Amino acid sequence: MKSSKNTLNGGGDRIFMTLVYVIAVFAFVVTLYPFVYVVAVSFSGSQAVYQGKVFLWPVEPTLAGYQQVLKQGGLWTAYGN
Amino acid sequence: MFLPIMAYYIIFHYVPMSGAVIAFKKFQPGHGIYAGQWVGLKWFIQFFSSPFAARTIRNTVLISLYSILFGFPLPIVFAICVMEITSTKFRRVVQTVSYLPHFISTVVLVGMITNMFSMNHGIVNDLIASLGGERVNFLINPRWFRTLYVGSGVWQGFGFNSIIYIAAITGIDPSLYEAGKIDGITKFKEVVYITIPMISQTIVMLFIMQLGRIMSVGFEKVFLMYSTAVYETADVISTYVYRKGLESNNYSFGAAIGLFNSVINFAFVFVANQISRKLTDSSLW
Repeated sequence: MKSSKNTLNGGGDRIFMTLVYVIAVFAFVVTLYPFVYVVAVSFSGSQAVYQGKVFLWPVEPTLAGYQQVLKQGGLWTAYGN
Repeated sequence: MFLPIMAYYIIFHYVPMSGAVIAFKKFQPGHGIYAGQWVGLKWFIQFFSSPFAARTIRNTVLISLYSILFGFPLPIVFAICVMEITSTKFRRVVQTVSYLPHFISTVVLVGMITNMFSMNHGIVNDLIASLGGERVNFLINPRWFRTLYVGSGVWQGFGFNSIIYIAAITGIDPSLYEAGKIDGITKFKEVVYITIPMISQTIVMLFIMQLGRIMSVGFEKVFLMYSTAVYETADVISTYVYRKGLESNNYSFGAAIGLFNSVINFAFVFVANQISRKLTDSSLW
């Protein structure tokens, strides 16, 4: 693999590698965060979501959302289709 | 044998093209495609003389151009970055996470956008407010539509589209890098003088294919994301034709504009191919 060499020639290389890691971590966070947010919101109480208190973790954890969705008959028909 | 494949293409791809003839007729459902009164360029004239033709064409072209401008280089940059990561585990994690957005459907994506960018309950506005700024209504403001549309498109596509560039980079002969190291090359120069030239053929080919889709802005996503308030920047050819078609059940109109779209797309691909052949000796045909 191209990346298996660890020799860094001076400052230019260090800046380059820092940039590479910054981009990689930024891509990682930006891609992952919406999914984490959606999962957190799905497990949070509706009041907390409405007031904008949910960031990474469910606030007032509840399964009410899931209960409502699963009660809808249409969901199972859709899955069947 | 070559024959079955040729037959497949002729029967299922070329013969149906004759159905485009309904663009020049007044199609009546139930009478078949080839029946119907010949009206010539009536639908084309109707489209181009409508007050919104200029706006829709402008929006279609702008959205496509922005999508290509921001969506094309990013997978390449990302692929180069990923290949520079030394730790295998971290590289695999970043790659896998980057593929995730590609697999969520447009409806789910627009649902997430509506949720996250909402004026009073969206997390983006909450962040802006907590930093002291003023809340922005992203979804109603025409000036933000293109940004949201193109941005979410780039977010969805950059990981998956980088796969092919990663594959191309993996195929580069390592002796080139060794030759570079003997000359004491920096990593940045490595990228500019070895990596990019060696994948330039892949880049050009994918670019030509991308250009071929320039006039086909996805109907689904625009339709889900737009509202009357943002028609100014959001109304594209496909959504406009959809509304007109619903009003009058006019299949011929839809076919005519679709034909127009395809002709423009083909012209773009043709020109891009010619340019590519002149400049880089590699082309699709």
